[in-house]
Amino acid sequence: MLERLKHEIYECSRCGFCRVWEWEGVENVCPTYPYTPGWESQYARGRVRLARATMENEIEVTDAMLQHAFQCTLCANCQAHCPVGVPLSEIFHAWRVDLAAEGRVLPIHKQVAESVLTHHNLYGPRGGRKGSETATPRKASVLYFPGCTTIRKARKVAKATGELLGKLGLDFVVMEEDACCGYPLYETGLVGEAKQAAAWAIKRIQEYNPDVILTTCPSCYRVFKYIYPQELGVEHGLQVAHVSEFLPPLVAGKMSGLEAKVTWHDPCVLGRHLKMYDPPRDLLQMVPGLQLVEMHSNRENALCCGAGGGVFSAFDEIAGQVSEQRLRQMVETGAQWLATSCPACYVNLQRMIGRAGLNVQVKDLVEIVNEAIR
Amino acid sequence: MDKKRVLNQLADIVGPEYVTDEEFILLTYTQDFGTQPPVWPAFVVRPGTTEEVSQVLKLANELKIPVSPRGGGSAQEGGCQSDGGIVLETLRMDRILDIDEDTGTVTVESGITFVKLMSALEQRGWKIGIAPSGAMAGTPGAHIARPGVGWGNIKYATQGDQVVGLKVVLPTGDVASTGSAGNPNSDSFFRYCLGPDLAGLFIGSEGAYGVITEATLRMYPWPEKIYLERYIGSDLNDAVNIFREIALHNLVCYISVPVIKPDMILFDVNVEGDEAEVEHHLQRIRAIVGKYPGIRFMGPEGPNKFWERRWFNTGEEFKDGIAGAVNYFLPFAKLQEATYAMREIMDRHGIRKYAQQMFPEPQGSEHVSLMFHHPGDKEEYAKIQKALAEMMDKALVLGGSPYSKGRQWAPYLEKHLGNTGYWRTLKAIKKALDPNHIMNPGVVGL
Repeated sequence: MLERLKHEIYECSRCGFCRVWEWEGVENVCPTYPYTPGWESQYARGRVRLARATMENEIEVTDAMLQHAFQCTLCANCQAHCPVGVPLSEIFHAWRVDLAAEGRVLPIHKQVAESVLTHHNLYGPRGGRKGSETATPRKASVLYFPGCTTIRKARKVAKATGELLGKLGLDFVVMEEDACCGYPLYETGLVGEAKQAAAWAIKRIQEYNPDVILTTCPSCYRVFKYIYPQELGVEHGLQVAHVSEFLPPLVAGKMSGLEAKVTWHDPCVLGRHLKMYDPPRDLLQMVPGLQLVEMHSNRENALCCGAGGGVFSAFDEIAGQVSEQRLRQMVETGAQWLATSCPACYVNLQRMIGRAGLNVQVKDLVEIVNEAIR
Repeated sequence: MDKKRVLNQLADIVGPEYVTDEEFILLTYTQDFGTQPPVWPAFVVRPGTTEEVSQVLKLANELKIPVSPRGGGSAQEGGCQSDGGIVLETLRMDRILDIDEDTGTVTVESGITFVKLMSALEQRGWKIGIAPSGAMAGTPGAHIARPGVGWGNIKYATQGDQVVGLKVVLPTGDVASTGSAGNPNSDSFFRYCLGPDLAGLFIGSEGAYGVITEATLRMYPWPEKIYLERYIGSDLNDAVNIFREIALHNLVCYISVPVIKPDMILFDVNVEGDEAEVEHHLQRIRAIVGKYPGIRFMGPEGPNKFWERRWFNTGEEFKDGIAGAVNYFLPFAKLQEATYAMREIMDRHGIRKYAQQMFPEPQGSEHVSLMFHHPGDKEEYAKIQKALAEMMDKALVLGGSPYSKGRQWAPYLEKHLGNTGYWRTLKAIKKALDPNHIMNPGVVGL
């Protein structure tokens, strides 16, 4: 994988602009760097050098090096702010693929992959709850695919989405069973495992014979729409929609007022990776009474929540520290609600509210729209 | 050297998480923004205080291990690292210690980035005089040690001229404050007092005499207006005459000359002050330019657009690859000759893509040649290295004074200056301050 990006890897001018900024709304380009000991290998410039070293078999890959490689959330903030235009996020992903091909992955990511392939979700068996074996697929026009993090960790989002689709009178079904799109495996370089997960997920989805797969998770959306056909060789021919683009025509004129000040947290996959900055903002602005304010780091400059790229599972403390920084940016705006549309952001931001002693709420986009439609 | 033992001793000083001898981390410290061949350190340490720097240097001095200070690793000419020793990275020392609106000074730890410092000052209505083009990653400690030119070159001269006082750790580990802060009952508010100007020893020393850990710089009220406009012409002599006259009358904050080609010279002027002052200076600048019919006014749009995103835009220059660079100062009268001489060398070596630039100072100009190449292009790199060697030598023959020296200029400095009292004095000071020759050995030829 890295070999294909060799020219781009060598394009890094080593200017160091990817380390820390305090300019133009970017507090720090690399979200995790400030919460590490701060070696060169813990932000983009050093990582590019190490990716090159891996590609050229220059040095031995140690466990410590792996830790540094995987402390990256793949948020693509460095890529968006590289003056030379080096596709940094692509390089760091390709690096993981090459490392994984040599069996060099973090044990927790391996464990997560095994869970996905066995239990079809990131978090192991359901315990007392019923699993996929009990679900009976039925044909529906809209198949809402919550994804495993939403089903397991952000159930309120799945519930709100189900309620909302019902209120809108759609022919829909919520895929309540355990099902993982495979994106977390793809992100951590385990492409072979991601392919297996994708094959299973798409087969299962096709049993519902939907017209459209609806997601509230940008990672599911990205992987279904782009990565399955383009990188994993899984063709499905199904229409895929993210709620932020799916809902506006259906809810226009149907929402009543919500008096609140809200700020939008751009999930990295939805924002920098897919450039969907406006649809969620436009949807929020359709809600009467809702006042949308921006954090000083927004859109292309938005600070990652700290959860992406496998950081949440492998470096819980770093993920929490980044999340707390993002919440501080939210508090500066005076907003009561932080809205987002990514279950990982939702969970990671929500869990830090209490620890940071804040009196604010994290809400999913769908929760807000569902509240506005009575 | 018992590496394990040294590692433990360094860990006792800075804490185990801030020292490393891990091969993969060392690899990322073998190069900076410069194009010199990689240099491997044995350890990297990231001290958090002046006291820790002092302890590291005491240990290194005792064990005779070379120490190379490093800021953001963002110097275009690079070359300031020695083989096999300790790289002492200052980036953890990144606090603003005092913004003193009484004396108009700001005191910072040396590892803060310029952009962080400037953003904090701007929010309070202040600015510093000089900022390097690599302000996003660069640090005051490293810039002062260079000795620091940048945007603001005409009005504020160099970063060295902006220094009010420094705190430095000497190679033996002793800590000295310069200027008024030499008096333990005083802060840093005046440079030339108490005795000889000790700060001057460290400005431009590239770490050969010690490690700068704190700097007090002059600061200025944020100007009411900043305005830029662009000119273009074809006659280098006319342009240099314009630069000289503008500089002598101190009419601008800076002049930037990013493009000098055989048939084209392009320059921007940056004027700052209150409305009336800016207007008055612009009238005078336009009158000076008006004496040269071949120089055309190109308007304010281009340079003002650049200025809006100035810190980021400087990095975009390297979309064509990294650049082998030769920078030196010359008086105005020699700029034309130097431009042709450097161009002749680059053409003769068949350099595929190069740029010549100038950044005028009050008494002359920084003259820059950049040779762009893809970092993987070994053939072009070899040609550039040959050209660089010839250009450094030629620059000194022409009377040029290198801005950033690193290790690459050392043989040429030795060749042209070796028999001078200046060189003997530099060496004598080095010996007195650094008897075990541990501070960045080889850099600046010391």
